[in-house]
Amino acid sequence: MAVSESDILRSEVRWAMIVGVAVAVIFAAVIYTGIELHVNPPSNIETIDPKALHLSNEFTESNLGTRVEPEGRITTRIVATQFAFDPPCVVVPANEPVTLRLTTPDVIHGILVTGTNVNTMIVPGYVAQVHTVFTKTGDLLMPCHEYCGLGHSQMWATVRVVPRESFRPDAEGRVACD
Amino acid sequence: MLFLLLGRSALAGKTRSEDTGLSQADLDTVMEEVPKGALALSASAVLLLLCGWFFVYFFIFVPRGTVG
Ligand SMILES: [Cu+2]
Repeated sequence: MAVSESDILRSEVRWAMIVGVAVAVIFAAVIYTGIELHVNPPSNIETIDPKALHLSNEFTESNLGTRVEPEGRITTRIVATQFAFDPPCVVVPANEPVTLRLTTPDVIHGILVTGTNVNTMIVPGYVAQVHTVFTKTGDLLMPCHEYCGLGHSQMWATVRVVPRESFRPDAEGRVACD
Repeated sequence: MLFLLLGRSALAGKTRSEDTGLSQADLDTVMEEVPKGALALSASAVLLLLCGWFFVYFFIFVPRGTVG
């Protein structure tokens, strides 16, 4: 036996320490991201009757899309259905806090907005909510990323990020793609 | 490809040791080097993985902005 047991043990302990440091560094980065950069997994437990979205005050057809609320918060409401988003295009201002609120009357869907960290599932019976700030202007693709049926691959929407000065709400506070 | 290389070198080592008739003492000397090689391999693998993780973190994840 050329390599003694204690030699092996020593190198294993050293290796475990190196791995421990690596894990600690990654953990520290994750905690820093959550606390300092405010990047967290979207979590919102809010129920809604999926059979009566059209009767809910919030997700009626006329209330969908982007709206500047009376308090000044900007909220975008989208209903995901098999196999389209309603509305298929939403406008949001750049460099402003925006709240996305989504729900579905049918099956589980999901969204991500390309080039951003926006990513959530949309589960029937619940309202998915994501707070974010879009920094780059332009049309961003928002596909459904949860297989929801045969038309899943045709299901996407556009998030149009416009500069603050081009974001002009109407009398009701709404902004829509033309 | 890797399997091929490993297989060939193992085979080559075998034939060489049979040809030259290495003593047990020689083999023991070689075995002492084994943990160093394994450590070097795992260290570079983990270092690469860490570099990849931090590359994605700083250059992709953080610039994509805040969510919550
Ligand atoms: Cu879908």
